[in-house]
Amino acid sequence: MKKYKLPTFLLEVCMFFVCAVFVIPIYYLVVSTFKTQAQIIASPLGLPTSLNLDNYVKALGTMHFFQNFLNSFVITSVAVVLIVVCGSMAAYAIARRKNKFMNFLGIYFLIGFLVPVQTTMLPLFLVMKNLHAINTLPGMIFLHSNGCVFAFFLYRGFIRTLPPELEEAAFMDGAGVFRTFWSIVFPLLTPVTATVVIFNTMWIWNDFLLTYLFLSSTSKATLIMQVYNGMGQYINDWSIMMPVLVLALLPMVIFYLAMQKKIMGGLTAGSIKG
Amino acid sequence: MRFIKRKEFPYLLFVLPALLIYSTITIIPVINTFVYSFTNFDGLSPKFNFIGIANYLKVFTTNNVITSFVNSIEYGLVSPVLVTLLAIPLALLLDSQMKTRNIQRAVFFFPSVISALFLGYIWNFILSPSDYGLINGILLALGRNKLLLLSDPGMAMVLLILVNVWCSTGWHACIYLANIQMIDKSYYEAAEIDGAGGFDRFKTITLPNLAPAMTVSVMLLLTGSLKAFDLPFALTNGGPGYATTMVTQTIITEGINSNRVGFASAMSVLFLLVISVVTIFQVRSMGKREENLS
Amino acid sequence: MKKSIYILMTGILAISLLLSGCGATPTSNPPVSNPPAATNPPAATNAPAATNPPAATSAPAATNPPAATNTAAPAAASKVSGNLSFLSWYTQANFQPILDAFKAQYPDVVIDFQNVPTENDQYTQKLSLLANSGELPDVFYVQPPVTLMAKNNYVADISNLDAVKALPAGYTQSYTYANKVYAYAPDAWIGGVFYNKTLFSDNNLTEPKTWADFVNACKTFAAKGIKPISMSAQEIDDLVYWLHDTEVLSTDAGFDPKINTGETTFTQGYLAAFTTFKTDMLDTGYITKDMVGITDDQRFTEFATGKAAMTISGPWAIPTIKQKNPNIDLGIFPFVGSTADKSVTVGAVNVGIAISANTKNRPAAEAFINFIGSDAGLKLYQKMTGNFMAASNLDYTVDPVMEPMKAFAQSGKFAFPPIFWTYTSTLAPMIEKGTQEIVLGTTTPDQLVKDLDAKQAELTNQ
Repeated sequence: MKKYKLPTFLLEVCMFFVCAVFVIPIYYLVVSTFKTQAQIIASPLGLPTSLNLDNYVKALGTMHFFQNFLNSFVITSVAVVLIVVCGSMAAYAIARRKNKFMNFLGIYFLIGFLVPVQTTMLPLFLVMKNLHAINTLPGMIFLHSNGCVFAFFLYRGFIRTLPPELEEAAFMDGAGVFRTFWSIVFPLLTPVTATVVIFNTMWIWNDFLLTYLFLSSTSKATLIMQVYNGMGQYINDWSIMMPVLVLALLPMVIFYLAMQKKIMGGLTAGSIKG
Repeated sequence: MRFIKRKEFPYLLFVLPALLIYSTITIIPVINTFVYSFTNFDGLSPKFNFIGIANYLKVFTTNNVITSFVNSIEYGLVSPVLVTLLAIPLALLLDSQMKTRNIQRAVFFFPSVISALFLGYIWNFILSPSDYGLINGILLALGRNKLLLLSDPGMAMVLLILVNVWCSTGWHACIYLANIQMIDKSYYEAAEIDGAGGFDRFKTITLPNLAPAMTVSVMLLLTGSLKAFDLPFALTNGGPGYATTMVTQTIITEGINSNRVGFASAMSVLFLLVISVVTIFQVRSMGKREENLS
Repeated sequence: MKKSIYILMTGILAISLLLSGCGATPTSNPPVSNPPAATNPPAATNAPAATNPPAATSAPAATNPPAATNTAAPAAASKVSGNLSFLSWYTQANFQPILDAFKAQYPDVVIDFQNVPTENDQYTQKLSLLANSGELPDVFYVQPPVTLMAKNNYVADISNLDAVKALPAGYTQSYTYANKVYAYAPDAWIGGVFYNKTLFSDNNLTEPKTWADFVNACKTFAAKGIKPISMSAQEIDDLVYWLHDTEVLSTDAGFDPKINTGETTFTQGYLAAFTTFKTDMLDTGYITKDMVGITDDQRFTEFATGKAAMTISGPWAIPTIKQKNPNIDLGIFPFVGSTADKSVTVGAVNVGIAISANTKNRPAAEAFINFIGSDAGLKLYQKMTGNFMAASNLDYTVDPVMEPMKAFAQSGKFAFPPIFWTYTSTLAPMIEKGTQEIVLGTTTPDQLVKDLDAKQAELTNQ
């Protein structure tokens, strides 16, 4: 156990300043939500003179907050479940069965990392149209479940480090592959699952591009979309936009703070080893 | 089919859902894009013709398209280098015995939680060339002249890369941190006994053990930065002029907005080639490095 | 082993293809065309955007007020029912009063309200995607000109709707193709040059009546260390359009639609504007390099706080400016030209509402448009947009600051050239970025107009 020496203390002070500067953008955002436009111009970084919740009240009034929250929640949670299930299963098969087909699939999946969404926007739109999935929540869930590719990547790396003895024992006892996977292997994958869940939740919750392209009805809109209604080129009502931004981010922030330990745990468990 | 024995079949089923989803959402559209690139499809009219490689030739002769390729490559290659150079030392710092290290980890990780579009907007205010931008405001208050910042084409790209570094460093530092914490402490103790200094210990123990994580981290950074759209778009909208316009943005403005999907598809295919070549090269060479170091 | 892999992969891909509807082949999905398709001339050549040449100016002329506006007695209200999907330019919060009033009159219609944030072309993108995949909603907004949508049979002919018939020619011009009207816009946004009255009077300046007055005002302010005019990166080209409007359109109002047919070129119409912009505004230092990185909101801040004396915008900006500085004394003047009679202001017909050619609920869609065109509907619509309306006998108020512009709205002396170009979605951004580059010094007026003409030729011939 290293001792807490003076150099460490000085380092700590330095880091404090570094962090403070690092955090300025977020601070600016939060603080501005309590001010009027004129106040924002006068002193952008000053602390608000009063905890004026008017802006927040006004913002909640203009947003269909709860409807959008529900939409975001449904899309995110179902998609994440799909991602975990599909990604882990695919990774298991490819990591354990080392035949040519599986090897080929391993590379096949990696193509997904190379493709920017913009290059396939129109064809994807046509595909979704043929599936009658445009402007539907199931369609969005389907789209987001493509994140299973990244999950596959993480799972595969981890499964490779697991000794196969446990599974072999189960096979010899007569268990099928399916059973073996779910009852023995999957529980061991918890650290990776935690990481996958956390990252995908954040990404899907915050998604803008796929959402604005494929969801149109305001009744189906997600929370993030509301923010952009306050951010037009011709309408820049900061006093509404900022609280909306904070309200839209709040669930994510809370989620992140709650999950922080798990994130560190998941990463520590060697989920990202390549 | 000989090999679909009973044993193989379940594994096939395991792979099937992910395969179907992925093929439908990623692979099929990519194939479509490839086909469109040889046509003059305009995105509105249902009729179009094959025009051979005319679109590809146009890519090489349209100035702002070439500029955007250069921009994307510049942004995509410099960001990973900077992030990696900063993330590893930061990970070391976060591994120290500082009392506030958990808060520090949270602070640095935080930007990844927020959508890049919002971050772009916030940084736009900070780096604004107007008197009311944060930095300029402070400079003016101190009696100095304001800076052009985002209005200067060269500076805009530099600032964009720096903002990207701000956004990404914490995330990757946490990856490195996790891997550092897994290194057996006994190695360090042994090295210390042998008289190795701090930097030597880092070079001979820490760095080699981080090699696998480095390969992955750099690959993610590389593909992520090359594919970037949200941050450049939100921060500068590709400006000033075409200075920070990325290929992803050009594909949209020249393709969907301009009713020239065939042309945009050619750009997409070429860009995919660039990303593939760069990434394969990176993974191969860093993979070799991994082997050499282990 | 190898062969089985191929067979297997083909099988997987085939399933995916099936799911994605055989999208890999380049065959088209021709939209089901309604009978009117036969009357549209074959789209082999590029038909001009407007086949009704403007009478006197290139702008809506409300000089012939319609006899009676549409008081729309809902005679067939009971027959109008069902679902109506509506992709709106405006947010639901803004549109709600109109939706409520419509619902009161047609209670059997359920509106599925859809919205896209309109920042940075997202609306246009989405509309293109929806059109191409045949997923257009029943009713949606289109931006002028309507050429490409009409040419490809995506919009329905609404020439015979009461609301449309009540519009003066100028308001339907940009939405007409082959003598048929395809979108309905009862209003026009009109803007001008906002100026800080206090700053002007403090410096003994009066409202500019000519371009020379304007440049002189700029000179006075610059000498005092006040920014003459605040601009955002995307609006610098306003100055170019200003010069074009006052110098070219005042003598040839139908200039811009002729670019589509090749009768005129950008070089002929815009070189002088770009050059004057450069010599009078850029080389003199009134337009500065920092402007290419400033956002819309930031330039309003500069203007509202008095750091800048003028800014070009429209009525939508007034609340923003007043929020930033409630004490500002706001005035507005039009685009002034080389002589006092050449004043024109910036403005154009607003985005229009169109009906999908494949809509399954035509009665409801038509009722919707006719409703907006009724007296009650127009009043609510005007409240939402804050714009000037085509109907001259309508009783409404605009922000008092905009009063000086009323004369321009009624006489039709306003213009915004991009709405006339068929390929405006490519050309307008080129001008925006090109102007930025001129400010930065990386291109010249000569080069830019050459590029524009080349692009126009390229797009026409593809």
